[in-house]
Amino acid sequence: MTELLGLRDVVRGFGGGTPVLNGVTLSVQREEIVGLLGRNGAGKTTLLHLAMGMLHPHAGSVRVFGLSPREHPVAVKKRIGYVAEDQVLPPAAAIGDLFALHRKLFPSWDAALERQLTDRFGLRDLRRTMRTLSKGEARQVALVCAVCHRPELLILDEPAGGLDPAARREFLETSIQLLNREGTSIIFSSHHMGDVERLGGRVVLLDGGTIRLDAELDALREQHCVAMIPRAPGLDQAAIARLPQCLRVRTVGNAFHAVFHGQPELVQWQLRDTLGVADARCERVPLEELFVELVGGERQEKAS
Amino acid sequence: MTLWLMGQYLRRPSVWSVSLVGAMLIVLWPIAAVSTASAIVVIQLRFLPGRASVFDAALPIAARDIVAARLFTRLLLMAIPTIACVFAWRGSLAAVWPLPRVLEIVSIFALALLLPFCVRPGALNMPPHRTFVLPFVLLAAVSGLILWLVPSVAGAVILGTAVVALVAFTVASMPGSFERVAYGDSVHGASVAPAPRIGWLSDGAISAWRPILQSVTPWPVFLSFCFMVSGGWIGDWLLYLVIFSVNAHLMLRQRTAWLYALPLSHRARLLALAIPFCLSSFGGLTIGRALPSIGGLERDMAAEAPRSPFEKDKYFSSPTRVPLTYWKRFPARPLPPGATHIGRQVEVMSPWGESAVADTFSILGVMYFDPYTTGPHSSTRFVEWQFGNATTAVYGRSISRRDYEDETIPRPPRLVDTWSVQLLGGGLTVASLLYLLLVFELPLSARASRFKPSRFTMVTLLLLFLPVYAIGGVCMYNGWRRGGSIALPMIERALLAATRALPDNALVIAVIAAIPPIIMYMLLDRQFTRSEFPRVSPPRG
Amino acid sequence: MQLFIRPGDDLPIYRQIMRQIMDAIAGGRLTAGDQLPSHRDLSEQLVIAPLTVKKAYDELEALGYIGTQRGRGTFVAARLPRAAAAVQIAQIEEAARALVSQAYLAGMRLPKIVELIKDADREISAGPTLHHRKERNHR
Repeated sequence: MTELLGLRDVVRGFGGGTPVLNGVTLSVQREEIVGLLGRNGAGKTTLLHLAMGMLHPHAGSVRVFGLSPREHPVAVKKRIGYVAEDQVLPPAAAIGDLFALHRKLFPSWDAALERQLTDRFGLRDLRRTMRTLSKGEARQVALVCAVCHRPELLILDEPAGGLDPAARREFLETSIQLLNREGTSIIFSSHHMGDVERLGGRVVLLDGGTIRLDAELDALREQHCVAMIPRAPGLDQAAIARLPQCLRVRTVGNAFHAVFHGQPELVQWQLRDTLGVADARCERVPLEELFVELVGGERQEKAS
Repeated sequence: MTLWLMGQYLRRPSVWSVSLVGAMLIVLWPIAAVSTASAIVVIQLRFLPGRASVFDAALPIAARDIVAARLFTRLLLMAIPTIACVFAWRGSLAAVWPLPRVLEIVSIFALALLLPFCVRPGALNMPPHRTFVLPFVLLAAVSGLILWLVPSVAGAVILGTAVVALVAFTVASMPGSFERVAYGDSVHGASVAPAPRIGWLSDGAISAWRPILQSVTPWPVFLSFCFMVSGGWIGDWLLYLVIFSVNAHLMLRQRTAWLYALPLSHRARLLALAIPFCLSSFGGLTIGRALPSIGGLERDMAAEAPRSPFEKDKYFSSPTRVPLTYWKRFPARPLPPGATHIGRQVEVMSPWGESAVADTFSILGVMYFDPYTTGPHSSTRFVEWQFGNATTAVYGRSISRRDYEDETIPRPPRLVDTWSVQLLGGGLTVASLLYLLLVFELPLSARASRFKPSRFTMVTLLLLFLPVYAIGGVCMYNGWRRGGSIALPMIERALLAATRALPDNALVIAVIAAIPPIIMYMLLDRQFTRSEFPRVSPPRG
Repeated sequence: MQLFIRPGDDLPIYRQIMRQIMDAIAGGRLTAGDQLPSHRDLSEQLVIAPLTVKKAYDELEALGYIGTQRGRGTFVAARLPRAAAAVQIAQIEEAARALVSQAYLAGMRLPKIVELIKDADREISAGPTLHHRKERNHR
């Protein structure tokens, strides 16, 4: 059983209307890192809540470690670590009490690791209550609670949201150490493309209720390129969209930006050959540009 | 500017709807005036929370205007029920309290509403709760003294002036802009030299479960407990039960959301939610009922009896009044010996031929009559005879009128206060509390998430709360017409009948009393396995 | 040997690592037989995933620049690849032509171009620093 998390054709919506997740199939294997990308409201948190068993799918199935998180919540949650941006730990609870609670609930709690992490994060006074901590410190406490029981799967829902860059970097370091020492699988959602690139692994893009892209990060970057085509009379968006290997076209000012699957030189040649476009510029782009081009909105230039 | 801000606040329907509902309740159910008013105070504290938000503070509006707007909005919201009180006074409230006293009480509630603003008025964030303990205790003590010692008119004037003075003081002492204040225990970061490690916390069970204990005891739970104690003491607790326990429950849900990520079974989470809820409501009620009664609200025979005649030809003031618990239904049941009926009038006849027209009361078309009535022209002998009958029904044995009114002779406990009735009643109460939990659990199931949350919640609450609304409506209407309460006496009636039908065995009664709660708990358990992570709106990440 | 990566760069991270190691070998800062950090150590040092490091090492090994000895670690290869030297020379000639034509278009003369090449040589030999581009005065 190497599949840790499996969603098959999962449908989930809220309050009628279009479902937020409409037929999503995703699989996370052992020792994999999966980054969930998507615009706000695309369904990343919904997907992670489904994995945790906090939501139930309207259709399709969710399996974690081969079990249904709905029917075996305790068995599943014992092997998962969870950190979320909107996780609200009880404000009146002392740090030490929270650790004691987790120690009791998770039999595989490692006290040495807890000591090491609290030393590293500088959480010395364990009597402080959660409401007196800064955002970064509270997130660190949540991280310690999530990793000290050596989970097989770490679920991170925008874990670095709202943290300063130094705190983000520390979070990343801890995650990578965990990855190295325990071989934990990680599924995380993030808006910081720098962090996504550092953690590498697979990248899954959620858009419009389905998975638009699911590929290895490096392959994604090396096999896709963005073409910037200045507008010209007789050239319309639909014609570009019809080209094979074109994933998306959008209007930005007085140019079209199109995402293609293929080498830049080939795409340039294809544009010249099929549409007669000679002054297009095709490049491989970093992940952030790719994300914006794939899911960003249109920007029309006002007619002057 | 202040007026404009007030308009903005009042535009929120939740804010003024509470006030309107409260006013309706006071008019229709004057006996419930105190409980309604206190409920309004508490609910206002939640819906129009005290200070300004960060958004307000960033606007180019003077802080003084914002605070003034909030203060006046609260006073305005108190004004509507006050007017209702004055109106109701002209009806039946006059029998209970004179107008100056009503105004005193209203002023006290207004002061309670305004007090949270007056501690450090310039601060943007609310001071910690403990700073309010002393001011509220002082307020309670001073108002108690005024109510007790000072004649009502003077008291009303003093308290009214206090309200005006408080508003003026607060508004005048506002600085030009708000200020975020760091109260005591919000120390951020490691700017202090690291303290020596506090060893490993002793591995007692307390330390581990403390975070959960802290989450399941937010302030509304304590508030609900206090109000249930006072409600049980007074004897009129149904309204408290609905309002305060619901309030406590909603906050409990918010506070325990973090437990969903932990490997706790459904049962553990259910118990964490249900036990504090039931303990605070039911426990408070039990303690309240066990407290010795205060003067004037004794559980005497005529407590909660209908008292105000709407029709002029009814008496309703006989010395042998009993609450609806002991009235007889008409005409289906065999009439007690000596009672005859002519048309819609019932006459009660004594063995020696004297008769009196019984007071009647019709609820939803069913007529009830008081078999222990005496008329205004009845003889002393008749009154004594009826008194003996009434005390037999209420206390289980006949007491003469002289003995009853003699304060040195202790009265036996009422039949409804015996353990068997209490056990059955307790079982039913716990079952209703669990039923309430069930109603709130329904919108959280996965199936429910297909529908718009507001619609589903509304439908569920409407359907399941319909009996409560219906009963409440009937009570309110009849309470307005005649005074006295209806719901509790009717329930006591059913319980008395049930005790009579069951054998007098403690074990049997305990088992039967336990059945409804157990059934409810099983339903609740099943529903809990279907419920999801509680959230207000779909996640946005 | 210090490596430095930038996540938002045009090159994927593993290629940045490859480029820097190849530069170090070319500049003599890494000689045959030097040990490279393990996957784990480098990943924790640079705060990147260990698989990324592994990918970079695997590619370098495929090209022949480094070799892994089981149980002992990863080392710079004793004999650096000389195969396909002719292809490489052709590529370098092409690059030189492109460089010169671009410089002429920018109005640069030959002595200036030579100076640029010397600067680049110095940079590669010294290793990448945080102060990337030195200010160049246009004369």
